[in-house]
Amino acid sequence: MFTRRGGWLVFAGIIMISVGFALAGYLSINVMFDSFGFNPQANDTYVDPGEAQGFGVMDFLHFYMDRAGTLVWFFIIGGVMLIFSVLLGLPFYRLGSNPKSIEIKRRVSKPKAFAGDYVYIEVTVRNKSVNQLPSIEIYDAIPEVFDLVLGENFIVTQLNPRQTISYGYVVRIPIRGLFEIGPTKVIIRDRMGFYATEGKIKSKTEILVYPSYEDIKKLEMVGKKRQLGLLFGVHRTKLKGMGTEFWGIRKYQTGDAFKFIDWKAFSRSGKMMVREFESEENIRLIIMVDSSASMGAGLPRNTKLEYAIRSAVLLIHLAFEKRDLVGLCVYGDKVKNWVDITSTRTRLFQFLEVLAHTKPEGESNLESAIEYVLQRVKRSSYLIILTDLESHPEKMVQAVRRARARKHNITLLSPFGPWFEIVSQQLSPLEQMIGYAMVEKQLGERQNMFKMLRRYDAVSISVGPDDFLPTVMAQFNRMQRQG
Amino acid sequence: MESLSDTRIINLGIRGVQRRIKGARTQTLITHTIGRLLAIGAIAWVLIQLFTIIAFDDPAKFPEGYFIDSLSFIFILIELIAIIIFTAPLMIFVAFLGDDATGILLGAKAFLTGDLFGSISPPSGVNSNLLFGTEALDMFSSFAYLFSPEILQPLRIANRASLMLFFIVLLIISLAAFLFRADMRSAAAAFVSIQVIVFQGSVQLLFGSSFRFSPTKNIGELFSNSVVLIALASYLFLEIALQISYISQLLNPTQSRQQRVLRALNRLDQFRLGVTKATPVTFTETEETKEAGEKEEKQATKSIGSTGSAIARKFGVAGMTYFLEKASDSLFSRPGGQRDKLTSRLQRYHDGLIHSDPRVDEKLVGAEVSVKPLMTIVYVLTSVIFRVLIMLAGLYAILNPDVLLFVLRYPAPIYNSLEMLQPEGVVLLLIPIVVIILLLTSLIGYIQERFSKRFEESLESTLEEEEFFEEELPGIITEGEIEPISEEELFYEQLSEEFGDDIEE
Repeated sequence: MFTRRGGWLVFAGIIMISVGFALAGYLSINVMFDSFGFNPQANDTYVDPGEAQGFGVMDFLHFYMDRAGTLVWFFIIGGVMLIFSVLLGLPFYRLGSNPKSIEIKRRVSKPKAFAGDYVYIEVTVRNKSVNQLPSIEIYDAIPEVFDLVLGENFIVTQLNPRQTISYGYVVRIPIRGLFEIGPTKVIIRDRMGFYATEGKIKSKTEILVYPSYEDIKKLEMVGKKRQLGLLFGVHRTKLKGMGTEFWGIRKYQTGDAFKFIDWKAFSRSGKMMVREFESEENIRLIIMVDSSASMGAGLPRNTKLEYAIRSAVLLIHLAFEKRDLVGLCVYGDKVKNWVDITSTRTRLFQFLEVLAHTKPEGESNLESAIEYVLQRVKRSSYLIILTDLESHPEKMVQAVRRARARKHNITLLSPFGPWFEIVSQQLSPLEQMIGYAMVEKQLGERQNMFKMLRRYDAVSISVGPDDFLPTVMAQFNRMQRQG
Repeated sequence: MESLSDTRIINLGIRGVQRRIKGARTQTLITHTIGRLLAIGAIAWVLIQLFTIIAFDDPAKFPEGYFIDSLSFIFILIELIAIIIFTAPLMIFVAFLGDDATGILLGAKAFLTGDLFGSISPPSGVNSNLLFGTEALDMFSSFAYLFSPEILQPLRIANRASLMLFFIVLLIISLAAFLFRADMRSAAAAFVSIQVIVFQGSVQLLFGSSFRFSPTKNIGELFSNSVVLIALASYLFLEIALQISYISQLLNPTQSRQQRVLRALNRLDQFRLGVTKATPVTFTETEETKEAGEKEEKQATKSIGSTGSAIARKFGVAGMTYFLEKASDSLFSRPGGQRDKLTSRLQRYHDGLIHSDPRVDEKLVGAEVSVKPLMTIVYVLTSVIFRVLIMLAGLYAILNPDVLLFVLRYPAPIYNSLEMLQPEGVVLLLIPIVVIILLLTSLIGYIQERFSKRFEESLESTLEEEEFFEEELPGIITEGEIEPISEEELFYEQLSEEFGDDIEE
């Protein structure tokens, strides 16, 4: 309750009283001096110059003696004044400054935003009581990653009885995630700064921030420039075997249906030939985002997970553009979120919401995630796995093998840890050497892993922050062409 | 497209805020000035009290030319020590060279006393021939002469007076510093200086005969006693210093915030009006430079804070504000700094905010937090008078313990004891009074806790209604007449909560 200033003043008062008592006690020593016949009258201005005067300890002590006893009272009165000045106001302060008499409201302009958006936050403070609050400090806590761009999130003011004041500030939210604004700290002080009461308003306002839409916007801008680019326009997969459109003729092989035999060609060449048709079908895309703790390493705005999520958003957008089917699985040690395969554009926010909530925690267990997906996706599709491969290699290979066995095509885009983490930090030459050695070792391990995965027809690519998104787009393109 | 009417709304918003802040600035200035005037009054009273009790007019206590005497005494001491240091090594030659060596020594001594120290005239009553002597080989006779009682006694009196003067100069310096800076550090220094002056004056018998005190029941006599008056004056100075520091504590952050935010708003306004051309950014901003910029910005703000106070100590308020302005200006031009935060995108967002709530600028600037000078001064004066009166009453009660002893039911031997009029008696009363105050405070806290809960329960419905009414005030979301500006507005939702229950102590 007492601030440092109040405490110091009480302390000074006690010291002053103590000095007073010390002087009083010291005065009584004078009597002892007299009884020893020692009374040099050092302080007296009218002293016989011929009288002998020493420079011993006793002379010195005697030199600082307050023989009239006035100082004793002066210091005691001064000390009592100081102590009273701090203490007498205390009950009045307690009466006037009830933290419960303050009402605070926080108003956030929107509960959901995209990364990079501005959000306006307004705090309204109301003094419900009839007492004036001479000094009140209000701090509204915002997450560290937020940029305060306009205004300030604290205020120092006085609140008159029944007065309401509001202040506001604008923050920019640079990254996606679920953020909490709050708690709000309130410090009430008295006018003299002797006492302070701290209150904390625990209630927080949640803001859900979707992954940035900036990549997509950029893409759209590029797209408008190149109308007939390879990437753009509805691009359908051609499925051979069924459908109505003629595709070609090939030799008959045992097991081909008789109805497809081209009798005209048979009569011409004397060899059994089969007509083939094709149909158009969308590709099926399943994005699997690894959200284990290792994905969160690095600077908060540039983690592997952030890049993975940006690429996921890009893929989802591309898939919707081309009316392909897309599903999303966010997994750690178990499946955290699953959005079923869909081509409905309106469900974009469902995807974004899932991605916004993603936090890097736990271990990575691709096997169980693949198991989960395989149960839900029966037809063959493209599995795009965004993982940093920092878990059991055997289990991972096992998982890929199982997915391949169900005729899924697997593409593994793996952000390589050191490219995300080491570059951003300043290292000493020795640390750099160690870092390079580690990178070499890890790259070697990665190559082995990729070799094993290639056996199951899986495409695996190491990506860094610069080539992450281009690689994603290139791979999507490849899948489109493959069908 | 922005219509003309929209522009007018926005312009009015900013101009209104500017006008309000300008008004607030004048009010702040007035408040500060009145505060300083109060402080000057308190200081004047302290000085008058001090100068009435110090016996400057008594030549036995403050002899003529005491300050010069003290200074020359110090110089002569230094001179004597220098002579010993310089001539002692030359003593070796005396054994070999005889009379010539004595001549050299005398020459060296003459050089030191005459040329080097410029023949300082010793304090009155000191014979310079006797002091420096004529005997070259006798180095210590000067000390023996100087430290004889005949010489020393008048010098002691002069030194005592000079020391007092020194403390008075210290007091005046710290008072002046307080008047310029209005901080508690200078006020505390001044307060301590007053105590030291009183102590020094009292033990060295430099005060007049009126500086005596004995407890009395007569209020008039008690509060006209010079001991009580000087204690009261120094306390009052401290009290007013605390009040003034409160005013600046309240006003300064508000003012600087208003200036900062207003500058940012003006810049945004320039974006809107198209005054600012898109300045070509020459550097390519990679993540690293961005980080470095952010780091630099943080360090800059940190150093602004720290250098601010250091400079303030050196140059005072004017210097500090100058440097702060400079520093914050440079912040605007640093890459990754404030300048990059203020973009045309932010300006568009800000325009949108103004459309939904015209008072948004006031809220950003914190213009509502204006302190009315007259009210503040009235509050401050009332509080000072109230507190001093209570304190004096407490003091009177402690110095005249009859009533309190009766109320507190002390046993008769204590009640009737003469010791209660002694200084020790004060403590016997002070401790229970302090304990009672603390108990009373916690009792009030307890009652408040209980009653406010009940009060809240009983008034819950009423409060809710009131809140609902507030929610309906024109705000960001409920502004029905203005069309939403962007898609973002679709998300707008009012999130406000009642927090009252969760306050911790």
